[in-house]
Amino acid sequence: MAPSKPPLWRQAFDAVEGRIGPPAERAVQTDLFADTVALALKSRRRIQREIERQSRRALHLVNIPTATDVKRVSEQLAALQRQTRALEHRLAEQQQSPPPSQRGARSGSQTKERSR
Amino acid sequence: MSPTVPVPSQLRERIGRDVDRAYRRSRNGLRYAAGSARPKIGPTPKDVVWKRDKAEVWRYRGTTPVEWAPPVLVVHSLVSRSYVLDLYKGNSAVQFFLDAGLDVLLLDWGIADEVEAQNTLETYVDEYLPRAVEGACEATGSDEITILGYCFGGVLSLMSAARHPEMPIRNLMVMATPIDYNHMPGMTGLLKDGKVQVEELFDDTGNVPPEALESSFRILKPTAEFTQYANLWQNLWNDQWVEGYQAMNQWAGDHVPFPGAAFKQVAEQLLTNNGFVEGTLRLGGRDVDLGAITCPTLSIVAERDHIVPIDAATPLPGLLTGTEAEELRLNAGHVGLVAGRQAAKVTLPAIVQWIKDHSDRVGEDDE
Repeated sequence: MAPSKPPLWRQAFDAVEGRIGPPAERAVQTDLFADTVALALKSRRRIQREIERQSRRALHLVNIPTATDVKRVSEQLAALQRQTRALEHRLAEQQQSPPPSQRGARSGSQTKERSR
Repeated sequence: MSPTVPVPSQLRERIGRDVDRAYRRSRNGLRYAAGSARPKIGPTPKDVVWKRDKAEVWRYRGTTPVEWAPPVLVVHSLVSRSYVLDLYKGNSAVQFFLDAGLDVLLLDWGIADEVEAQNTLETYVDEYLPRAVEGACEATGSDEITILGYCFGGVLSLMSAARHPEMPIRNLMVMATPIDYNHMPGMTGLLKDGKVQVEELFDDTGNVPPEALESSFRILKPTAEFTQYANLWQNLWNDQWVEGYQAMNQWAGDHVPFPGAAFKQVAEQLLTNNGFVEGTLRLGGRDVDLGAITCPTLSIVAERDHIVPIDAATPLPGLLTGTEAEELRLNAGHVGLVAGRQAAKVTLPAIVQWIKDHSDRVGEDDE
């Protein structure tokens, strides 16, 4: 059985999309588009930084913490969590491997376990 | 000449069908707008069998007995959520593999935040992946494993396999994996040409935010969103189609932050220096030599992939000088490799067949 024809509105949509789609896909690969995106990114970042700077000055004046302060605390917490993780891993590895004095006695069983 | 006026019975049938579709369209439209009746994503039951920080290995529970060994460990990307491989009931790559008698595990990286912002590629390639493989082997009682890396998960798998030849990898499969970054489209050029500095993409957490990743994918097909809405309107009467659309749409807008330090390495070593192809890739002060991979390897490439174009994925077999690598070209898109009707009909059966050809039947060599 032949596939049924798409409705008229869909045929019209596909015709328009077929004309717009490929040139649009080519346009986003051009240097001009890349430059525009780069400029937009940089401008947004600059504006954001300026807003942050101004609002920080105002909020600090009335002793209210700002997003920058929260970010700093958050970074410190993250650093702390990374240290905790590293310690946890070290502890777990020490628990898994026997102390140096017992290593010789257990090496055989370890080999056996690994070759299982 | 054929009559242009339909006979009364045909007309009745057509009116009945149109009325029924109009009713279904309204009902599904309301459900879609309200966000109700979404399919349950990631429905296959699973257990966490290994965990380190946010990285977890899940072992899926199937109803079909395991017939093939070694188990398959799917390594997911750092960009998106892993439930695309277990989308919803009736559209799940994981379920397909389980039904084929495979033992399936998945390495999920979790969602990166400030703590993971300093994770480098070495964190994933040298620290997590080898341990995850060990954990998967322990959980399944197997002494080796088949790895299936999807998208950037394939990049991590290749790096790890190359740097750790001692890892018990029986077979390595990479799917829609970018290798030649000179052929990567879209926003990658911004970083490559130095128009944007990597740090400019970072958010307050020090990661590349999901929105940035999402828009970099969306921009590749600027009219795709309109086409999606047209497709939705055309198929809104079809309950099954809407179910699939909702699940896929949810996943497509559900990216995860990319760890900042690792992204910086990707930008420098892969996007700018094209490290795999040029042989300049270095991690932890050592070269990453893909020639060190000696296990059977399959590169699965999607012919209609617009995120990782075919030319970006195909150079892999030529770089794997230590093994006879195969390539499987499939008529699918990036996501269509693992989800959707095409996946169930074409891609997943082909992948399963390769796995079976390179695996042992359980019980065959138990002596």
